Amino acid sequence: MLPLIGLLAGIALGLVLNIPIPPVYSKYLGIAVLAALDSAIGGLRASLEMKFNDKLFFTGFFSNTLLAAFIVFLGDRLGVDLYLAAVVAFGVRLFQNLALVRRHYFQKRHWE
Amino acid sequence: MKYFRSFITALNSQAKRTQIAIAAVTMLLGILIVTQLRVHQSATQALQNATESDLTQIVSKLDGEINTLRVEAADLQLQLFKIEQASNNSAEVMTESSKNLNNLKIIAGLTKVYGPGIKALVTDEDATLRAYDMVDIITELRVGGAEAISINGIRIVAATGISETEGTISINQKEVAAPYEVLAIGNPEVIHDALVIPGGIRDKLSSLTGVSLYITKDNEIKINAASPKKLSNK
Repeated sequence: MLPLIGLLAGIALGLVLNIPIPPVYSKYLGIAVLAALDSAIGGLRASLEMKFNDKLFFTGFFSNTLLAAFIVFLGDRLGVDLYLAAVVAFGVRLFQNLALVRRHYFQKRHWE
Repeated sequence: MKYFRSFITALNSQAKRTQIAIAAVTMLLGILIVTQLRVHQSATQALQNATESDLTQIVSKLDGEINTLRVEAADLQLQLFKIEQASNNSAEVMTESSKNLNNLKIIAGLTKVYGPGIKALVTDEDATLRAYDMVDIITELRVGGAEAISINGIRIVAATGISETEGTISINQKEVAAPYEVLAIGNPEVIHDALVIPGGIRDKLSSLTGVSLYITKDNEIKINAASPKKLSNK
C-alpha cells in the first residue's frame, strides 16, 4: 500500500516540480526509470521473501543507477549503443523479479 | 507528537521499514517517469497529439508552402537573371557604341589618331603624277585597311576632294607639291603588302618617269584631325 502511495506522490511531485531536463539527457533519464523500477520490484520481491535489507536495497539502487548512467555515457562516447546492455539487464531482472513476486503471491495463497 | 512517535515505531518495525524504503524508491520512480514523459513529449508534443487527418493536413499545408516558396524562388531567380542580362547588355551596348563612335570619329577625321602604320614618300620630279594616281594610292591604302590617311599633313576623309589644275594637284582646294608624304595608320604589314603587290600601285607608279615610292613601317604615327573649316564647307 505504502509503495503505491509513494508512486502517486512521486508522480504528483514530478508534475508539480516540472524539472527541466534537456532532451539530450532523456536517454539517461530513461535508464534511471528502468533502474528505479528494477529496484522497486526487486525490493518487493525481497520483502516477500523476508530477505529485505534496506542498506542493500538503497546501495543497490544507487550503484545500479550510476553504473547504468556510466554505461550510457560510455556508449555515447564510443558511438556504440551500450545503453542497450543496461536496458536488457534491467529488463531481464524486471521480468524475473515480477515472475518471482507473482509466484510468491500464488504460493502464499495456496498455502493459506 | 503522537504521529511522530508512531512514525518512529513504524520505522523500527521491519515490515514498515521495508514498505517505506520501497515507497521512497517508487516515489523517485514516479518523479522520474513524469519528468521523462514530459521531456519526451515536449519534443514531439505537437505531432504526437495530432490525429492522422491533422497530420495529413499539416503535411499538405507544408507541401503547399514549399511549392509557393519554390515558385517564388524561381520567379526571383528569373528576375535576377533578367536584371543581370539587362545590365550586361547595357554595359555591352555602352562599350560597343563608344567603340563605334570612336571608329566613326576616326573615319570622319574628327580626332587625332596615333598608332602603327606606314609612312610613304612619293617623289614626283617631272610632275607626271596625276590626281587619279593620288586617288589610286589612297584607294590602295584603304584596301590595305588603313583607318586614317593624310597627305602632306592633310587628313583624307570620305569628303576630301582631290583635284588637278594645270598639272598641280590640290587636296580640298589646297595645292600640294611633291614630294608627297603619305601617312596611313593601320596594320603596317597589310598596308605595305597592299602597296607592293605585283601589278599594284607601286609598279604602276614606277612606270611613271620621275615617280618613286618609298615605304617605311612605323609603330608610332600621328595623324591630325581634319580641319573643321574644311568639313563645314562640304
